[in-house]
Amino acid sequence: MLDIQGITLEYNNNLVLEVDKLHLQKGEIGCILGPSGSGKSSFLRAISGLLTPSSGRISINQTVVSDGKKHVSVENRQVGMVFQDLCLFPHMTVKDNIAYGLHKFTAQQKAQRIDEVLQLVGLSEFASRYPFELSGGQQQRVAIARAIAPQPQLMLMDEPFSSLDPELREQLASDLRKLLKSLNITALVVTHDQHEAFALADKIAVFDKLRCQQWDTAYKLYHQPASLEVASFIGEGCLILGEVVQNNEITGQIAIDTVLGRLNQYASKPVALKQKVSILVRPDDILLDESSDKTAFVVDKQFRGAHIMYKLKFQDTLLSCLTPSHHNCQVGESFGIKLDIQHLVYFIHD
Amino acid sequence: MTKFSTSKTLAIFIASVLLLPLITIASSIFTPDTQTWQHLLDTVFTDYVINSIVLAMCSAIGAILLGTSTAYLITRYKLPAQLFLQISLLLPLAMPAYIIAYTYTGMFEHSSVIHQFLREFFGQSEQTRILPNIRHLFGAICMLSLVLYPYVFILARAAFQQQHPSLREVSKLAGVSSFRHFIFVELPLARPAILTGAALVMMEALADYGTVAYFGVNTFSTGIYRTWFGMGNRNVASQLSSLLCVFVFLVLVLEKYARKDGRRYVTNQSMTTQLRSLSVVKRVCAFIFCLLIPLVAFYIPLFQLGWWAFFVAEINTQGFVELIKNTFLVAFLSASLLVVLAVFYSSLARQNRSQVWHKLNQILCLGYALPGIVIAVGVIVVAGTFDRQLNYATRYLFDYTPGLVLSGGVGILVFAYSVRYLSVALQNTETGLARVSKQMDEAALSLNPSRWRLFTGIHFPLLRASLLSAMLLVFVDVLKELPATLVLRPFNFNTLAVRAYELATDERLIDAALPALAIVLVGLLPVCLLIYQLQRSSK
Repeated sequence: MLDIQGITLEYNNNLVLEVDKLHLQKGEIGCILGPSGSGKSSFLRAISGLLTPSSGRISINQTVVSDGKKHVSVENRQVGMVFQDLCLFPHMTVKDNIAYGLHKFTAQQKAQRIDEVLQLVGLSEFASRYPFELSGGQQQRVAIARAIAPQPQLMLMDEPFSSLDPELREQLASDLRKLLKSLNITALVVTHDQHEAFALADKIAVFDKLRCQQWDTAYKLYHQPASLEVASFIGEGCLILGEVVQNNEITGQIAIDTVLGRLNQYASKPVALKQKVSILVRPDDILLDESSDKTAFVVDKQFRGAHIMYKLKFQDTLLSCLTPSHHNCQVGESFGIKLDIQHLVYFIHD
Repeated sequence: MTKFSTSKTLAIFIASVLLLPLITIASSIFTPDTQTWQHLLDTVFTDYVINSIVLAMCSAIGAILLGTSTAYLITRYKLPAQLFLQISLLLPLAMPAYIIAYTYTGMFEHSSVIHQFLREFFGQSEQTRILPNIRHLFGAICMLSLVLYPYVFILARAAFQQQHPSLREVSKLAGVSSFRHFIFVELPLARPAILTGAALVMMEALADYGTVAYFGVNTFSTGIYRTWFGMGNRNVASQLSSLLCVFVFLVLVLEKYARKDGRRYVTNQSMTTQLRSLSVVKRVCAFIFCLLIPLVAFYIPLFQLGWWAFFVAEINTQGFVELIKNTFLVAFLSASLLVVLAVFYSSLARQNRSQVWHKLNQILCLGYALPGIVIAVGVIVVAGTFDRQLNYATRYLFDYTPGLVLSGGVGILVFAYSVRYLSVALQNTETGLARVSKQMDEAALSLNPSRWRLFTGIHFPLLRASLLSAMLLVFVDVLKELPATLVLRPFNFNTLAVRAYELATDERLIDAALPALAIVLVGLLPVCLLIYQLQRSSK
C-alpha cells in the first residue's frame, strides 16, 4: 500500500532524514516514533507531497507518487492528514469543516458523507457547533472526521494527541485504532510517546540521528533493538560492558564475561573473539536472588504500585531492577541479584 | 481605613468632574429648541448626517483596502527591503489628516511646482485636467484613508501572522486553490481584526474636524462648530454633539463585537509562517504597491513640508519659539497630570476586588472615543457655568468678581485634554500593572505592610516604561489635537496645530509648513515606539 525506497530529505542543503525502506500493507497502522527534531514530521510531509524528497521513491497504492523525476501534486495523492495542532477552521462549524475537503462531491453526496463520518466519530449532534464550543477530545475527533471524509487512500497523522490531556490520550489512541481497523484504512501516525505507539501500531519505525533506525513490531523493537539509539529510546534499561571469551562458529554459541558473571547465548550477530561489547540489560533481566553473592546497593527507588523500580550500584556499574513491590528495601541497603537474560542484545564497540 | 476612603472619595470626585462635560452634553437633549432645529432640518442637517456617514464608511473601506492588502503582502511573501516596507507602512500614523490635506492642496494648487512643470510640458490647456481638485468629500475620504489605514494594517498584520501555517496545508491537501483559501479561510479569520481596525478608522473619521473644515465639507463636527460660533446656539451645538455621540457609540458597539468575535478565531500557533517567494514581476509589483502607499501618505508630504518650511517660507523664529513653548507647556502639563491620574485609578482598581472600579475606569475611557469638538462643547459649558456661579458667589459674599477663572485660561485646555486622553494613559498603566503579578503584591505586603512603599518600591520601578510611553502618547495626542484647542484656547494663545490650521485656512500654506512639520516630526516619536514594540513582539 505504502512503499518507501531509500528517500532522503534535505533542508537548505542539510540532511534532515534518510529512510531506507518502509512498507505498509493495506489496512495496517504504522507509527513513527522518535525524539523531537528527528525528522518525523518532515517524513510525513514528504509522503503527503507538501515536501519534495531530494532522492528516493514513494509509492502509494502501487502508484509512484514521487521519485527523482516525478512529483504527484498534493491534491492528487489522495492522502488525508491530521495536523499536530488539529488546524480546524475556527470560523466554520463542524459540518463546514468536514465539507471543506468535499468540494468535488455533489450537495447530496456531501450531506450524506458528512452524516456518515460524524456518526463514525460519534459527533452527530455537534454538526452545527463551532470548534471553540467543543472539548479537546471532540475537536480531535472532528479533525479525524475531516481527514477521512474524502475517503483518502492513506491517512497521515502528525502527533494527533499532543494537544490533549495525558489521561485522554490512551482512550483516544485505542478508539482511533478501532476506527481505522473497522474502516480498513491504512495509516501512518507520528508520535514521540512510545506507549501511544505500542497501543496504536502494527509496526513502528524509530527515527533518530537523521535516520530510520528500525522498522519493526513493538515486540521486536523492545527485545531485539537494532541499534543503541533504539535500545535507549524504547523501554528502560542500561548497558553493561562485556568481552567475548568464546565463539563457536559452528553452533553459533558465544560466551561473554561481564561484571555480573558469564553469559552463554546464541550470537544474534557476528562477533569476534576478545571483542568488547555493550550488553542491553532491561530492568526485568535482573532478578532478586537472596542466595547470590553479588550484592548491589540501592541508590534510588521508585514505587510503581505492583512493582518497585530500583536504581542499583554493583561495583562501578549502575543497573536498574524491577522487583515485586513487597520486596521493599531502603536507599543505602543492599540485596543479592542475578542476571537472567532471555534475549541477548549486544552492541559491538568500534 | 480612613486613608482608604479618602482616596476613594477623591477618585469619585475627580471622575465626576471628568464626566461632567459628557453628562452636560447628554442632558442637553431634554431642552429642545424647535426653531433652530427646524432651520437646521430645512437646510444643512441632512448634509451633516449623510456626509458624516459617507465619510466614516468610505474612509473605513479605503483603509480596509489599503491596510489589508499591504498586511497580506507583508506577512505572506518575501519582498525586497521587507523591514523598510514594514516600517514605512506604519509612518503615516504620524501624519495628522488635516496636515496631509493642506499639503496636497498646496501641491495641487495653480501656482505649485507641479503645475508649473505640467504647464511647461503640456501647455496651458491640458494641466487643469490632470491634477485633481481634492477639496471635496471624496478628497477628504482619500486623505483620511491614507493616514488612517495603519490602524487596519497593524491589526490585520497581527491576525495574518497568527494564522496557523498548517491551515494552508489543509487546503492544499483538499485541493483548494490559494485564491479560494484566501477568500474562505485567511480573510474570514482576519475579519474581526480588520473590522476592529475599521471601527477605529470610523471613529477617527467622525472626530475629524481639520480636514473637513478645510475642504468645506459639511459634517457633524463642522456643524457643531458652526452652530456654536456661527449661530451662537450652544444648546443645539450640544444636541448635535449628542447625536454625533450616538454614531460613535454605534461604531463602539461594532468594535466591541469584532473584538469578542476575534477571540474565538485565535488558532493556537506554534510555528512561524514561511514567507513565500514570488516571480520577479509579481515581486516588483508587490514592492511598488507597498512602497507607493507610504510614499503618497507620508514621504512626499513630509518632503514637501520640509521644502516649504526651509527653502520657501520666511521663518519667524521668535513666533515659532513661542508656539513651541505654548504647545509643549500644555502637552507636558496634561501628560503629567494624566499619568498621575492614570496611576491613581489603575492602582485603585487593582487594590479593590470590587468590579466597580474597573467599570469606572472603562467609563472614564469613553472620552477617547468622542470627537474633540464634542468634548470642547461639553467642557466649555461646564467651565462657563462654573465661572458664572463662582462670580455670583464671590460678588454676593465679597463684592468681588474674579472673571473667567476656568474658561479663560490654559486650565480649560488641560481639563478638556484630561477628559479626552485619560484613556490613553490608563491603558498603558493598566497593562503595565497587569504585568506585575498579584502574588508579587502579596509577597511585598507580607514583608512591609505599607501600600505607599509597595507603590514606590515595587510598582513604580516596574511601571517606568509604561509611564514613559503613557506620557509620550498623551503628549503627542495633545500636540496634534486641533478642534478642542481651537475652541478652548485663551486669547493670543496658539499651539502648533492651531497655528498651522489658521495659516492654512488663510491660504498661507507655505507658512503653515513649519508648524505642521514640527507636529509630524514629534508625532514620529510614538510611532517609533510602536515600531520598536511590534518588532520585539514578532521576534
